[in-house]
Amino acid sequence: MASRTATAVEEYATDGEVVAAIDALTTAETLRLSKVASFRARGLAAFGLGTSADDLLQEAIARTLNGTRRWRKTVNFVTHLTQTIRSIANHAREELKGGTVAPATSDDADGKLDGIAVWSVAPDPERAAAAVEQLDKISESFESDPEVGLILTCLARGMTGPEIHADLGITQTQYETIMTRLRRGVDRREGWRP
Amino acid sequence: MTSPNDPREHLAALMDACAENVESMTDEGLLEEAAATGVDASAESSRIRGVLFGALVKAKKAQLADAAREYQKGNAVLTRRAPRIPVAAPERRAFLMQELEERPHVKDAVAELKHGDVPSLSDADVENVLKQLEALGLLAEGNSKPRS
Repeated sequence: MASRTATAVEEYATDGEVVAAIDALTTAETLRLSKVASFRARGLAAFGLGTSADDLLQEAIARTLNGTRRWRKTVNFVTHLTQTIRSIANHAREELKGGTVAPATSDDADGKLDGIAVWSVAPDPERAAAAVEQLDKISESFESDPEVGLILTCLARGMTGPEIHADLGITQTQYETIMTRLRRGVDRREGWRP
Repeated sequence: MTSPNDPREHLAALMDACAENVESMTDEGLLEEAAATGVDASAESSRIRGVLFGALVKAKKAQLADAAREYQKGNAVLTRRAPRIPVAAPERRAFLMQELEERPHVKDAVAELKHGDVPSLSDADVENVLKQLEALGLLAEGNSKPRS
């Protein structure tokens, strides 16, 4: 039992190890975090959530340190942060699906998006209209790329990546290549800069 | 309420797929893309590190503030309860002896707190043990005056 506890303690990073991991991040890793957080934040913006990419990064670190989402050292630190960001974004969206506003409290043991400014309610026709407009513009910009068009259609049907390549009969690599074109196009269209 | 036909869901799914695409990219691919689009990768890297360290400092400060609050709360409990304990050293010792006699669990607690018999404890040890017993809620309620 004692050795089991000791293993559990060693499994998770200490605060000092988190500091060292941030310090050791490479340029490519920080770019990855920046871009991932940016897209997750844009996903939240679709629902009218005013959460920035930096907010998501900060919340991921806060949860890592306060024990809500500890870093298991067998997992790559960047992977841990990107998974934590995804979890934060998913929880925030789930809150909105229920038509409630996630409160900004200091206690995030309930998994809500805490410490982050949140200001929206779910049924929002204006936001839905804005999303339609944004989706139409993205589709228009890929009119000459039928492969991207197909991926957009599949995503609109709620299909996941693996479902899409199985359905379209393409490999994971082919799917990622098309997705890269789509992602770069979205960035270009929105004029995204880090 | 969102529905399968909710355009906000479609847009969010598209952004999620883009995030997952970034997650699957190689480091070289990310650096090449930054260079191709004129992004100052070094400056962005410094900025992101600053954001992460800033969050770390904020979280540590919050932890320290919580710890300080807990310490003050514990201290306040000891201070608030201390007046129940007799002021004079001989009375304090007699009170402890009385508690030991009337409540066996106090004896166990004292054995945990201080090794050795009560008569061998210094006056300061007796006071300290009483304060800890009081804080743990192990002393008798009401008048703490030892019977004469």
